[in-house]
Amino acid sequence: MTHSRKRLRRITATLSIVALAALAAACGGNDPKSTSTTGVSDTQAPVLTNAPTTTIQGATQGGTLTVAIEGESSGFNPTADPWSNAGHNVARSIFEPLATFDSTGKVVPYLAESIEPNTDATVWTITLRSGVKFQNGEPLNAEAVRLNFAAVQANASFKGQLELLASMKVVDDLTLELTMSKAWSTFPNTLVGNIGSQVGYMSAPAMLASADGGRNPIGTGPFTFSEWVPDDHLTVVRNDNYWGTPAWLDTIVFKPIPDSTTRKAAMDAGDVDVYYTGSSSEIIEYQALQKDGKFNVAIGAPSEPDMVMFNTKSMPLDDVRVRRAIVMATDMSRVFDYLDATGVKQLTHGPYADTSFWYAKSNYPEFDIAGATKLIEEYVAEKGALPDIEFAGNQSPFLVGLQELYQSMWKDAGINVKIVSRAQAENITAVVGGKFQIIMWGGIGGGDPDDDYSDFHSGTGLNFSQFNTPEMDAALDKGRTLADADARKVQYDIVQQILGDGVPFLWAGTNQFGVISKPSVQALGSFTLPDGSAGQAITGGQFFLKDVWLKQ
Amino acid sequence: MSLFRSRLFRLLAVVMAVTFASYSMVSLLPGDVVTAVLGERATEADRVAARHDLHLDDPLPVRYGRWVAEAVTGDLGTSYRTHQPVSEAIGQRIWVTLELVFLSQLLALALAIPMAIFAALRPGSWIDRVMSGLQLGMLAVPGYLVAIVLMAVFAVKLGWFDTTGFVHFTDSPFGNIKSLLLPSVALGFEQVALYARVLRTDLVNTFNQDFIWYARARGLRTRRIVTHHALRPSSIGLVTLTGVSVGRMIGGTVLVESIFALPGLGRYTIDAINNRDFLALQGAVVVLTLGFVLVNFVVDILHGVIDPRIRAEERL
Repeated sequence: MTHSRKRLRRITATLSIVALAALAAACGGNDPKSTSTTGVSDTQAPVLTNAPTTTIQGATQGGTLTVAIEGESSGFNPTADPWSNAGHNVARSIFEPLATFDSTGKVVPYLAESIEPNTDATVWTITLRSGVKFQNGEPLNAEAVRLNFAAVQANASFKGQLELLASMKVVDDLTLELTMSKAWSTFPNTLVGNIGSQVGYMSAPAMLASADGGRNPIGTGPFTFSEWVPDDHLTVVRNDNYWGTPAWLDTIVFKPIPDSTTRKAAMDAGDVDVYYTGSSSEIIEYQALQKDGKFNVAIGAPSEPDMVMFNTKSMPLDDVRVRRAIVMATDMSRVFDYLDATGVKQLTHGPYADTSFWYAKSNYPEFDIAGATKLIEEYVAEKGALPDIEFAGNQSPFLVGLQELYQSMWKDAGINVKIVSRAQAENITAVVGGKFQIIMWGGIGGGDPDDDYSDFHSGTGLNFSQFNTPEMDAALDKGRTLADADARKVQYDIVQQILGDGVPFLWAGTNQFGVISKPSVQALGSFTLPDGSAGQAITGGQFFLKDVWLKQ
Repeated sequence: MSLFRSRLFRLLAVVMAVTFASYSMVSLLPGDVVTAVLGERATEADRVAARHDLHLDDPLPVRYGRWVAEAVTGDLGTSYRTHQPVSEAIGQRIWVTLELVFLSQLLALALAIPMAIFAALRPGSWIDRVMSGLQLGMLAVPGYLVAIVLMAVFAVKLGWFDTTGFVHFTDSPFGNIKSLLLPSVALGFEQVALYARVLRTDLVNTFNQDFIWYARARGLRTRRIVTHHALRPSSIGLVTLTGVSVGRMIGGTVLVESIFALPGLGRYTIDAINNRDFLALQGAVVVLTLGFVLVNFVVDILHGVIDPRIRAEERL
């Protein structure tokens, strides 16, 4: 299934360590050909309508929905403020992306009518829908899109999202031509408005021009920004001049509640109508309560896996036998039990879920403690005693407990690790500087393979495991030039085979997000595209609320 | 007046020392500020430019001097993360924290003073021993656990309070108190025991003073003896502790505001630390320090009011 690009995911990478319990950089799905350019260009121009959709039976307009989000955002300028799931869930009520996922996970145009490449994907043409207006009355036209992209390119933190964009030309009022510095077949993935692909959200030019724009967001979305009291609430109200099918809800109040226990308590007490969780145990608990009609639970598609990363240039992890032995000594069923995730998380043997179109079977080792011990014995016989290895993670007691579980399992194979607990910022600095041996990490895999280009390629400076081969580089380079999904999969199969042999990561199961709501909240799993077809309502920990209504 | 001046001078010295220390400590925090600002994927050129823009190339004393020069004009800088003026952000949050700390102190004192009097009037009795045990228990329970239990019982189970959120006094005085009651109890829980123990000990000592025996011999009722004769001389320790506890409580607000999702200064501070938002952090530290120092300034003045001997000593 498709996913966003991950340029900003490294900011949330360490957060996604926490995501083992609560937060995870998101993306949903495992459909195949979502990145194919044909998925975009084949889409029919939608029929715009302001009539209420007929796909939602019995819906009534009105009401206020209170949504618990896990944290506050620095602002709401898509070209300047990096968002976690919380920020995206707020933003999706105010802003809309140029493209989105359909119900099968295929990337389809949204604010755009079409997004078409030339034959070698070096020039892309975005044609916009006519009649779309921002909430301040400005039209969404090619110049507005150009200004949005230019704002991204001017921002040091964000410009990586458009690193291959060389130039832009406004062809006419609704057509923008983009010339890339080299072939970029997965460009539409960047436009879906997801973690690491905020460039897809369109802001009003007046907002971009304002120094205070991030605190007074203006988009084209079904809700208009009303009020923001940081750390307390952000309120949006229905946009009655919305260009598409109007929303049902009068008002949405987003409440940032940073403490996960409190978020759950707020849901249990009925103080909020909707909340979402990456905790498998909570999902299981609410699924049980759903049977009694107390809550509704909607589960997103599996997203990027949890993982442990090895520094393959650090002795003794520079020896593949040690890396393989660590993986072979890991009984993932015990990890799932610790996380209380049995039945929710799925085993992974590579960056993509085993059920994903992109998955390829490789030599990634299975649990085999005897085999692990033998590999370590071989290593010791050849190179002498195995030194203790540093295993870094953050300071969450729960995750330190998980590290201790890994530690005890690896010890059974004769591998001794020393647990180091540090602040997230320290871990990021250590990883960037290559000063780590083993670390709890995240933000790789789960989406489109091209999203992981910089994580695996030798020439990006962002391959933090420092593992690669010329064959892997070649496959990654070729994969991003191809448009056909099957042809691309051939290249990414090669990448996965090499990763399976080299084992620079221990893959620790998929992340699942559950969106929990009161029984009165209807159509939470619904997201109607402008042409009336179904879109993907829940992508990882992010969801659309346009179609949601409240049962009186 | 000399007492006031000496305390004021001390206040300024403490504020300068603390702000310089905090400014230095922010520089020593692990993790690169520029990485926090730009993310780890930024180019080296962007990092260099950001370092320059944020004046991180300048020596620490120069940066601190610049900050002080701006701070005395009321300009605490702009958060690099939110682009919001720090003084504005603090202004939005300070009242939540002030109200929380004030209400916590009020509740703690309102409970602790009767408990202390009750126990001190019967020293060594079973009531005194039960209260002592109860207070030890209160001291042993971590504040976050109190917060979670209060929320589970009174918000989730009984539904008497909202789990989260803050209502401004101007919007609804009753709603305001209601929104802060559970957080205040959680924050002040430990203080109840501390205050009660200190005051009880001082009261027991006072009750053994000659002037109290004299009052009793005059046939004064116990209530009058306590309120008119014993409480004032016994309260110096309590007043001192109350002032010192403000610092502890300000630290506690970080946790309590996060648990109850209150938009206060404690939460702002912890967000600033997590995001290496050093100007926001510095601004928050200044305000919190000022608050702490001012409260203790008032406590010092109160000492003189309570005990004329202190005023006399200051004049010497």
